[in-house]
Amino acid sequence: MSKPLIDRIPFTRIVTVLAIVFGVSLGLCGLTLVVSNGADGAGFLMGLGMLELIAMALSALGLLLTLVAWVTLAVIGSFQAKVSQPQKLFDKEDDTNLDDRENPD
Amino acid sequence: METLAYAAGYAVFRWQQGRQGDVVSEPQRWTVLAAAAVGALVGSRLLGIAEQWPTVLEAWRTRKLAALLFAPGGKTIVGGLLGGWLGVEIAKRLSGIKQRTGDLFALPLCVGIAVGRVGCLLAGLADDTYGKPTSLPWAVNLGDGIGRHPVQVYEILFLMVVGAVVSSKVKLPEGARFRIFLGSYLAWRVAIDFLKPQPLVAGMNLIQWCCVAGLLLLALDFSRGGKAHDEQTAD
Repeated sequence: MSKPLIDRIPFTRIVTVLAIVFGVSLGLCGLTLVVSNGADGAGFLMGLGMLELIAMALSALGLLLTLVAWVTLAVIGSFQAKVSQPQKLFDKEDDTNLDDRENPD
Repeated sequence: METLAYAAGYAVFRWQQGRQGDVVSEPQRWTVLAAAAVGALVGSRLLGIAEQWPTVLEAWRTRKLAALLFAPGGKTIVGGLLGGWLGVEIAKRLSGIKQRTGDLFALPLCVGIAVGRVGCLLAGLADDTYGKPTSLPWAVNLGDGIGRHPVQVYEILFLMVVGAVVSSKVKLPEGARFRIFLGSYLAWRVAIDFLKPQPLVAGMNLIQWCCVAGLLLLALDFSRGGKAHDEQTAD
C-alpha cells in the first residue's frame, strides 16, 4: 500500500526553506531600497531591489499555499484515519480467554 | 550578509548534529526547524514594526497600516528568537515531542547572529542598529561624521564568549545550552540597547521590554522544569 500524500510531500522542509527565503528577501529588499536612495548606481540597485521584491512575493505566496495544503491534508488524513479504524466487536472485559471461561478454577 | 548568516548558522548546525547526534528523529527535527523558521519570521517582523512605534502610529492615523506590514525591511533578532521559541514549543506540543530540542541551535545562533552583525555594521546608518554618539577612541564614523559606539562589534565579542560557553564539553542537562544562550542574549540586549538611539516607552525601548518578558518566561520555564525533574526523581 502506498504512503498517504501528507507523508510523501516534505512539507516541513518546504516551509523551512520558503520561510528563510522570504525572511532574507524581505530584509534585503528593504535595505536595497534605503541604500539606492540617491546613491551611485541607483539603477542597478533598483533592479536588484525588484528581483528581491519578486523573490519576496513568490516565497510569501509559496509559503501560504504550502501551509494551506499541509493543514488541509492533515485534516483529511485525520478524518480518513478515524473512518478506517477497525470496529471493536467486544468490550475489553468480554475479551477473556475461552479456557478461563470453561475452567473458572 | 544576511544570507551568509543563515548559511553559516545552518552549516554549524549540521556539523554539530553530525558530531554529537540528535535527541529527536530526522522528521521531528524538520518539524522543529519549520516551526522555528515560521515563528522567527512572524516574531521578527512584528517586533521590527512595533519597534518603530511612532511610524506605526502615523501609519494608523493615515490608514496605511497594511502597507507598512508588507513593506520591506524592519526585522529584529529578539523578535525572531522569541517567535521561534514560541513556534517550536507549540509545534512540540502538537506533535507530541517531549525532548528538549534547543541545544543544537545554541552555537549556530551565536555564529549566525555574529555574521549578521558584521552586515549591520557594514550597512551603517541605513540598518538602524547603530550606537549612540561617543568620544571613546574606538568610536566608529558611519558616514555622518559622528563618532558612535560600535554596538555591533560589542555584540560580536559577546557572542564569541557565549559561543565558547555553550560549546564547552561540560556535561549539562538537556536544553540547558539553549537556555543559557537565550537568557544571556536577552539580558545582553536589555543592557546594550541603552547605547542605541531608539524611541523609548517608560525608560526602555520596545525590544528591551520584550527581552524582560522573555527573561521572565525563561525563569518560569526553568522553575517548571526543576519541579518536573524533582517529581521524576521522586518517582
